[in-house]
Amino acid sequence: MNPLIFVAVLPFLFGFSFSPMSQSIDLGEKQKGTQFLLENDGETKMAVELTVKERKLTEDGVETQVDTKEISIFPPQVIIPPKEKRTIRVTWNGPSELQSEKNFRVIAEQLGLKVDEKTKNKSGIQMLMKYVAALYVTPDDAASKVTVESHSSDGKEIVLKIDNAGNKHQILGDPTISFEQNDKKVQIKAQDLKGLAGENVLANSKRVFKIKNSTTIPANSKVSIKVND
Amino acid sequence: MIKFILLLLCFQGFTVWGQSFSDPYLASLPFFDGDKNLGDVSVEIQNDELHWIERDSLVQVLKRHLKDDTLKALEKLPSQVRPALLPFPVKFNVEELKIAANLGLEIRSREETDLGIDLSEEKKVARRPSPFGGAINYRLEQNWGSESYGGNYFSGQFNSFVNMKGLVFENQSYYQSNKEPLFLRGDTRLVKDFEKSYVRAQVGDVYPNIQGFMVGRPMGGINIARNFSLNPYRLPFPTGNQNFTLRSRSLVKYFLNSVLVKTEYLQAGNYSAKDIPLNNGLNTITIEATDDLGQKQFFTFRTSSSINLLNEGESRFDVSYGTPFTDTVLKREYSERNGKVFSGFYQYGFSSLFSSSAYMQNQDKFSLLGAELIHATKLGNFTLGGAKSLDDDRNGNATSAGYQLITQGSEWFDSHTLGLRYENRSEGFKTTLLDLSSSVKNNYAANYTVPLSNLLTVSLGGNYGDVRNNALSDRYGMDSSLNVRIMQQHSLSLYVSRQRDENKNWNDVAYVFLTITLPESNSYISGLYDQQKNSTKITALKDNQNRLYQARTQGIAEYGESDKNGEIDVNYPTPIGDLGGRLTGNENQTNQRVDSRGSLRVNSAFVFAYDEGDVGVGMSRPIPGSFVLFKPEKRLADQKIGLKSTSPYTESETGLFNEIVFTNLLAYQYREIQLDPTFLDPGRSLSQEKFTLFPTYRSAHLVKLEERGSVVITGRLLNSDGTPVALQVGHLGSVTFFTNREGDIFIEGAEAGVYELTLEDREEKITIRIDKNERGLKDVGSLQFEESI
Repeated sequence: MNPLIFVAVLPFLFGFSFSPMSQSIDLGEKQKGTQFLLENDGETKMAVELTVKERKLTEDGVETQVDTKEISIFPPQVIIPPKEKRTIRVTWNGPSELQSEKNFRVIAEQLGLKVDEKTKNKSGIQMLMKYVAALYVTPDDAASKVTVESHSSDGKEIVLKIDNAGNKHQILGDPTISFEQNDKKVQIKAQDLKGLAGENVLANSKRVFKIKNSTTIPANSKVSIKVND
Repeated sequence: MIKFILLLLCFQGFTVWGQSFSDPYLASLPFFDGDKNLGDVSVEIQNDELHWIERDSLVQVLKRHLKDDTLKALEKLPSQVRPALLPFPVKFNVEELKIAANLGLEIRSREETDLGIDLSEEKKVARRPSPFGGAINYRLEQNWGSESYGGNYFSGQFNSFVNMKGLVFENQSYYQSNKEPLFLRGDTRLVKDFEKSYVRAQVGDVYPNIQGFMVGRPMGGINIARNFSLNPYRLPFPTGNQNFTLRSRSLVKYFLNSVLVKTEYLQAGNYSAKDIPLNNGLNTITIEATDDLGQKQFFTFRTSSSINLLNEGESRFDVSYGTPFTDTVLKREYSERNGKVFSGFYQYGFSSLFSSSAYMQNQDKFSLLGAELIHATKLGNFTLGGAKSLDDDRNGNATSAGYQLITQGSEWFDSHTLGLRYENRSEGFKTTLLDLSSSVKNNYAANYTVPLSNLLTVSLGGNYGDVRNNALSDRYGMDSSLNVRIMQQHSLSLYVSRQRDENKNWNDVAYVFLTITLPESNSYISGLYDQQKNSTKITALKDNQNRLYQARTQGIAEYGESDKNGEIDVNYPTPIGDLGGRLTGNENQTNQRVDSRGSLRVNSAFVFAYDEGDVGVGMSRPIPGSFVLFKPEKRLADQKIGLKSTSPYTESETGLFNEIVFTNLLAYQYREIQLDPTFLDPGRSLSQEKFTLFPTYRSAHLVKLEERGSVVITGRLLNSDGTPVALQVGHLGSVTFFTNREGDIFIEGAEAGVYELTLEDREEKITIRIDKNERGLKDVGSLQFEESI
């Protein structure tokens, strides 16, 4: 899912920012919570709702979000004055030890409500914004372990199944896929891996990527992936 | 799109509304140059035809966008200008109800694009310092050691200041229990800054700045100087200005010596980039413009600068008068035996490439007069200096000439530094009253630094001194260094130097310096081998990135010919001060003796401030410059509050008196402070978390912190039929709140009392009572309205 979603148009224009877009609660550092920053860049007060959902990802990259009580957020609703910043606290309510990283979404959604006297009687265009940030609760000494479980190619498209057997998520930043068979070595770099580069493979999960690429892959080759954090 | 625009026009109520489109009518319409709305013009329209544009409204809209000659021609046109008379194509866009024009690049004026920092927002919201405040920094240390290490003693270093409406009194003093006198006074002075004229006046112990052959002498007296740090956002030093033209809307990136300075989107047009900050030497400015189709245009310029130059019309001065002093082990001594000292210079920027200064120093019958010229050219920076010394029995002259070439480019092999300097001193020339004449008549020096690869840099230097006395030998020497970067993070430096003096004595220095950086653990290991002393010193540092409650540890081991030394130093920062300790040991092989010393220290500050009838005090980490003291209201006394500024980590938190002190404000630099409410109990929050501060020299801010009401009310609002009251705005007393899609409410800022909860567009009220002793979250459950809407 695109982390920044522009939703609707109505009477007036303003915006806010929400940062960072990815945050972790490190249980190894004995952290119990973390924070995000909400900033109203606009000229009028705005109403923002904040929620946390547990995040699940299918092999095809389809994300589902379900309600959770493992994380609490404060404040869940806020009317933020113009040019002001507000700290949003998220707290982990789960156990202090985990086997594998847990994944959540922190959603900051602007509601189309006129909470500012200045805009009560105004008409115009309003752009409502919604930020969907990532939140991870990471166990002590967590690490990702990304491998290519399988691959196939029909000459036009390469299908790669990436397995993250580690207990921490891995962003596939600046990836290079290498196919090796005896002395033959074929490498596909990030610019030719659109659809895979920059994607996220959550802890203990698999993703299938279909990449339009006509590179000839040596038959029965060994395949490996290298990424930069 | 058309529907969208018409919808917009319905809302905004254009002048044309209600007119019949078949008759000519007057209208006020936006005038667009391409995609850019330049403002409204008065026009006459019939159907989709533009009859004329009123000249004055058109001139008003275009005066900032057209070249002077085009604008003058426009002003001579009739008061109602037909489109055919205009020097650019223009038409009425009936679908978007606007006047669409296309101003050609040849008639368009040059727009300035400023690379400086826009501080307009900070200036509006920044708080000035409190009228009264100050701090006493103290470093107290108890030492235990053998007699050869000074024995057992207690020492204290104090650095204090008081700021009264911008007048600062500051003092440094030292105490040591095993020395006489016990107290030693350091610098003491009054400082007053005049911000508008960038002038700092000081009375007390002052340190004059110098130029050319002047000698810097600390003195007890007065110093008045232009100090550009009183406005660090202003650029008194040369900056680059470059013109460029864009033929279509582009993403523009500005690079100075391959370093990205700014990125912005610009429309097609003629531009002048101004205030490009320049480095010393020859600078390469690259402007990269990428249009919407991905096509790139590059504009590359080279311009020179020197760190000693001033901008055109800028001036700098430094004037001091007083009694010179020297510090001995026991005390500070002011010597009036040879009279008082005057020291002063004045520098002026004739252009951004040429500055000149004149200076004078005087003590008793001795005077030093001189001048310096600096000229930056594309061939390098040239300096020329001359001075004359006058005394009762002896006059003399000195001249100097220098050349410096620093090239900076995008590739490693573009960066070279060449420095040449020549100096001549006549036999009678001296720089101070008690100075002896120089034995060297002419001195020549050169150094050159060249990269051999992107990881390897070599530096070579040499000097030759032509000695005046034929009985003596000439001085000469050379030095060279080699710096190697290993795997980007580590470095190795080799340095060799040989110098021969006029008595043919050779002084040789050679050392190897290795630094290993382990960024993942914030650790550094360095090794130094000194060939002359035949010693090896290894230092290991585990840094804490200035994090609270994280120790910074340093260990040093030194192996010499006759002795071995070891030291461990630990520093542990807390909100009320840094605690530390040190263990030192020495084994002397000649004496067969082992000595050791241990110490414990506290490095802290007592701070105080007064503002609007309120007083705040606190204990904090040491205050190097200015500080802010946050004083929470009484009901926040049971809460812990953190503070962040530039670090990702908590930089301060609630201290002994419930205060939060941020110790590192830099004078005259706007600073945004964000309070960290992570430690507050659930349901508790601050009414304001972000503050923008503008500190002055050694200033104090006292900021009161207030809680956002006593309680936070949570619950759910239901309609009479049991469905949630979704997405409604309501009020509880003076507090505005809203419901989400499930009807949930979260009302912050409510104080004790009885309130009526109301929703906009609904008459019915629900009473809510908040008791005096209620705090934090108050769940009112489901509240159902009886009336249906």
